[in-house]
Amino acid sequence: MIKYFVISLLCTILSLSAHSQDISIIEKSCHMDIKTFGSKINVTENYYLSKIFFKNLSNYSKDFIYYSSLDPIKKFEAYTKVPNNKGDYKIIDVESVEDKDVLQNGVFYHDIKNKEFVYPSLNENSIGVLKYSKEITDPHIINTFYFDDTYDCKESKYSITTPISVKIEYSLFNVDTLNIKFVIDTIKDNITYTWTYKNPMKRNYHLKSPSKAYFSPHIIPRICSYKVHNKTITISESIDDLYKWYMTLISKIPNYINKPQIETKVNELVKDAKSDNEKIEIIYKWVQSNIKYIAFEDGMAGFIPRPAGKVFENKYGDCKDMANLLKTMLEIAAIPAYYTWIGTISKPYLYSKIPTTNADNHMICSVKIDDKFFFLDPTSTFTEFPMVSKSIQGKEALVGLNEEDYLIVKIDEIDCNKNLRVDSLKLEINNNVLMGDVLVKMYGFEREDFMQNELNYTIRNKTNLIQDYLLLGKNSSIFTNSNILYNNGSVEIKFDAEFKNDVIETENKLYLNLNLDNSKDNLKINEVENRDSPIFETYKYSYSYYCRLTVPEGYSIEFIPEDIFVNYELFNIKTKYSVFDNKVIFEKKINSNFLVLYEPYFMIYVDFLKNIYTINNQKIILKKN
Amino acid sequence: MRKNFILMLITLFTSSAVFSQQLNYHSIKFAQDPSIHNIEDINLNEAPAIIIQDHRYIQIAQTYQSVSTYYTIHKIIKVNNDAGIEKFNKVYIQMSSNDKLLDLQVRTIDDNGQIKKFDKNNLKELENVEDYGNFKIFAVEGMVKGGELEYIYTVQMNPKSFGREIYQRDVPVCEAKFELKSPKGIYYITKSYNGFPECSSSTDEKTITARDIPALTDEGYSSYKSKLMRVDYKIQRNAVKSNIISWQSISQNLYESIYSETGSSQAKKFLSGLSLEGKSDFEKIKKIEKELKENFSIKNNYNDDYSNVKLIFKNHIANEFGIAKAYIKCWEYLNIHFEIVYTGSRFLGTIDEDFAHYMDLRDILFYFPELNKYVCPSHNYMRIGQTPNVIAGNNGLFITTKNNINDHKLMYLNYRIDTIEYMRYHQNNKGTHAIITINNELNEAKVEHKNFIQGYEAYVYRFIYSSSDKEKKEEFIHDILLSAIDDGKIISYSVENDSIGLSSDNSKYFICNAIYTSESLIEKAGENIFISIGKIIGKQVELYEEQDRTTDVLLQNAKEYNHKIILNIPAGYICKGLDKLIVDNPIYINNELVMQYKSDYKYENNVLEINIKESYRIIELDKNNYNDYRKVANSAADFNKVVLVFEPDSLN
Repeated sequence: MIKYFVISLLCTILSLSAHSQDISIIEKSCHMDIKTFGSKINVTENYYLSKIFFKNLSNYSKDFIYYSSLDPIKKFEAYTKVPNNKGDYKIIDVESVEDKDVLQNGVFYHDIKNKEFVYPSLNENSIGVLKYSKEITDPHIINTFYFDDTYDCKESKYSITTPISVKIEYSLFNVDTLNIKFVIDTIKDNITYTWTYKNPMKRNYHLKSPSKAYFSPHIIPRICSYKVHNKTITISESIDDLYKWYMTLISKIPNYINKPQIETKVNELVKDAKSDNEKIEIIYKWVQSNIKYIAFEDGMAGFIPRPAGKVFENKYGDCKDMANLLKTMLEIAAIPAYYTWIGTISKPYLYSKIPTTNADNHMICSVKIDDKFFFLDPTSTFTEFPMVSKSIQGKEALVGLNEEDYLIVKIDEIDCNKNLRVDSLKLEINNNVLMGDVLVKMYGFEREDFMQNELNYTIRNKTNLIQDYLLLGKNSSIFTNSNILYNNGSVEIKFDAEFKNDVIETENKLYLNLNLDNSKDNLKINEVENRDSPIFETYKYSYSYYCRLTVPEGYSIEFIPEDIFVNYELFNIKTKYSVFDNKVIFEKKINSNFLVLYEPYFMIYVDFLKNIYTINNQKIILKKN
Repeated sequence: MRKNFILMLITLFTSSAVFSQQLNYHSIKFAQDPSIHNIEDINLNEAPAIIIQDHRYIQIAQTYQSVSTYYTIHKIIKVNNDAGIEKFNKVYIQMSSNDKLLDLQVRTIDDNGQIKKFDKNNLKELENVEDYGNFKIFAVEGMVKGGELEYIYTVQMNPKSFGREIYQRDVPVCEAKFELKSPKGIYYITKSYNGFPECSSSTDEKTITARDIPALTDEGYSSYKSKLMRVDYKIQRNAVKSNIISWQSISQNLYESIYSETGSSQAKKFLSGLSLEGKSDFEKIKKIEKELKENFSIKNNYNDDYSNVKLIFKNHIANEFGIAKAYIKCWEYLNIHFEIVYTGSRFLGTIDEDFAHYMDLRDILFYFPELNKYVCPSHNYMRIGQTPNVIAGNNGLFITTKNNINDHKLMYLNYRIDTIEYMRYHQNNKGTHAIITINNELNEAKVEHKNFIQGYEAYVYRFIYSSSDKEKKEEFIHDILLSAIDDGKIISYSVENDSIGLSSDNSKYFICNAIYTSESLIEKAGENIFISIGKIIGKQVELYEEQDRTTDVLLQNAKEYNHKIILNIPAGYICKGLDKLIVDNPIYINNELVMQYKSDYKYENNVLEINIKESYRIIELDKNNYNDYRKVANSAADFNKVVLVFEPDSLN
């Protein structure tokens, strides 16, 4: 029975309606209008979108825009231009518009809403026009503009008009090879900057893509400062301003409650701790396992942590709540700890280039031991000190040392050798079935991923975790007597396996593949060759596989495959066959040492994958004596 | 729970004022000095959480001239582990637009007996969430492993003349209680399902208590929701009327609500643009369906504009209810004989003929008796003929209609409950024909591959294919033909019968032809060559995991696969490992063949021909036959793993 992948594909198509020739964007644009009134600055974003409908109109007629309390919609207009016989258009207004709350995966409550509508009276070649304005309620928080779209687009335009007294900056990303026309116009005391991009490439989504910020052309503007009566008011000039602003938000954390209870808890936790490191480890672990992450993103309240005592009592919090509680508890244990702002891996920005909230989306807590900073992310339940969490590796952290001082610290990407999986299989052949003992050890993010999956399986009442997760042998294999051991820094899984469908038998020969690992080859060649986004791995990893087969009595070894060694800078694979007495040993080592892999590497990545397929097919031959 | 859109609309008009008596709403308060419940059963303590009590009270009451239903829930949940906390630390209370949350009390007790009361300021609201409506939501404060969550709330809502309470879920329930109080003179009746106890109490106060309800998890291939222990209730009689909710009254109500008195002239104008003159009924229906599905948008919103036929023809926007109304105006105008069918997915439940109820009427279809064909107005990918496979095989409420001879106005005639026929296995035929040749270097296979697909899958494929651009089309071909081949390189491909209109003619197959090459299908070892021939039929459903089934098996549809694979074996080699190709796994029930996987081969003149027939002739299967079913499905999955060996021909 063929696997039913298409139904889910259908759902995707119905919801995204992307990748189609049935519709095309004529123009999309955003104009940011900055005005000053006395000491006040007003920022408005005016959006315009027109698109032409060709076919399957009902699949594309719905449209929506997001907004929140930080960028409420002030003006809204949408209509359909229906072509008539005279080569002209009849205008039909959108009359029903709905405001909807949006359920967002992983976020329990936020104030992002949808304004949703349907273009009325569509016919072939009708044009849908959408115009709306957003008020930017805080000039620190300005939206990013993406030039491309998931549909074909004729022209995409971004512009800013600002009085000369306002200083602005802008950063463009992923535009190096593109022909974006930039024009500056000065009229009296106003300057207008315009970026025009004709026929941007349609944005496609592929398996294992990073966030679109990595490959899609976009602009992030910011308002640095403005002048009022020769006095300069700064907003987002530099990291200093961002930090100052963050500190004003921190100062709004409500008063401390439950102080004695937290103190009692901390003292109880660290009473036997022998070192600061140990204290940190214990307190960090306590917050990770006892405070449940529940995300709230509620306008400006989304930037201010709840008081530590409240989080301690409620037993839940979002990232900043958990960071704040952790910081408070560490300080009670006499460990200096710092509020730390950071962008997760979905934000490929540097604070020095983007000193605004666009650069980050997360808060953690950091500590300093012997002049070295350690970063604690309590939302990452299974991360063990001193590892950093998966989503913040390689990123810049904005560490708040005190009210005035901060530091930008770059966090290292975790090397592949730390995220290690080691499989060792001791197998024999009984009745032509490959079977034996398996031991799998997982470290670093490999360990974390397994534990996270284990939790998710229990929540969703799913069974068969070990087989689903390890992907050893074919799914027809049978694993019994499994035993999971949780050590410090690693997880160990032991079980007995019968690998069914893995031995081919002819009159006097047995053919079998000692590489039973199917875990790391999930992209197909065409998915690499035909992509226009980079390849993203959530972490670098190392995989080491050892399989020892005892040759059954009455058989001898006729053939073992050649060893393979493919060595590229960012990924490599090595296999080795050896024979010992009546045993064949197969060893394989894979290192994948990148997070984001760009197009120039795709060719060699294909070569790497082809070698993996070869290894997956290689067989040894045993011959009857 | 996703909202049943039809139900929401029905609820609005069935809650007519049948209530008169004064009755006060009794609120429930927390017990003083609660303590943690000690559960001795070890099995229960292994569950992520245990529902200690789940009490639900429905009170129909009149206050200040208006009738309301007060719906109260009182739950105590003990959480045993982190998964239990994650499952229960967020509470969503679904609210309809006129509902009021009257009284919310929440507390947690930790493992030391410490009580934490909920701060009501943390109650949040979600409004108009897509497909779900409004919610009051809160995160549970102070929840710890081994602790308990207790909450009570009452929602005041429009009077409910019917409803459904499901008690069983994926964690065990120690005590469940259902209580329904109605004013004097108004009688409700209940019916319990799946082993939930029947109600034995008096007519104006119904109480059911159940203990030790085991956890039931969704096993897949089942109508999980409908298999859970539950009670359905509805108003039975008041002072003036009895048998208030019958299939007769339901049918008439539904007819009245879906028949639009207005919109005839708009329908006429719409139809005049379709040049239908001289066409057969079938052709007319086909044309109307195409026009409405391709150019009219369905938006599930209760906005009156979206169910107003006049505006629908003007704006081309309707909700599911409104679009059905528009279709009806067309059928009426053209005097096409049809029936309105209310039904729903088999995977969500079926109509109980003996207990008339609105709850299982989720979808609206049209049935044309003379043509024996259906139109499914809100399923855009379907075309006149069949119903979606999840509906086919279910029963439905068929409302018969006819046009009045004098004024041609449509009239309600009668109703019946009938089964919606499902497509037989041989009407849902599909398969692969492939010819495989290996190059002279013996390191690459070239495959001439034809995939033919009839029936349900063809409808979906056409819909996707016809709205994809060039890149997506090629990706789609990859997904269909090469799902198991990692390095397949398509040299050329073509598609036949991809026009979506052909979905109304089931004799037309959606056909993909491709020629591709792959190195990974071939592998050399020593002087031998291997070919992963099983990969040609694509990734297969795998049901290797053993399961003690508690629910019967439901299948998406009946179907049949016929594969023919021809392998040209390179000169000088003999193909080995062929014994795996001979398989015959049939299932007979009452001497009738209901499922089968059968494969064999011919091997002549260095050509190997493999023939596979895999068929599933029924759509429901007793749970005791589940393992037989697995065996059939896994036979195909096993074939997918077959690797053949070419050994040098020693005679050469």
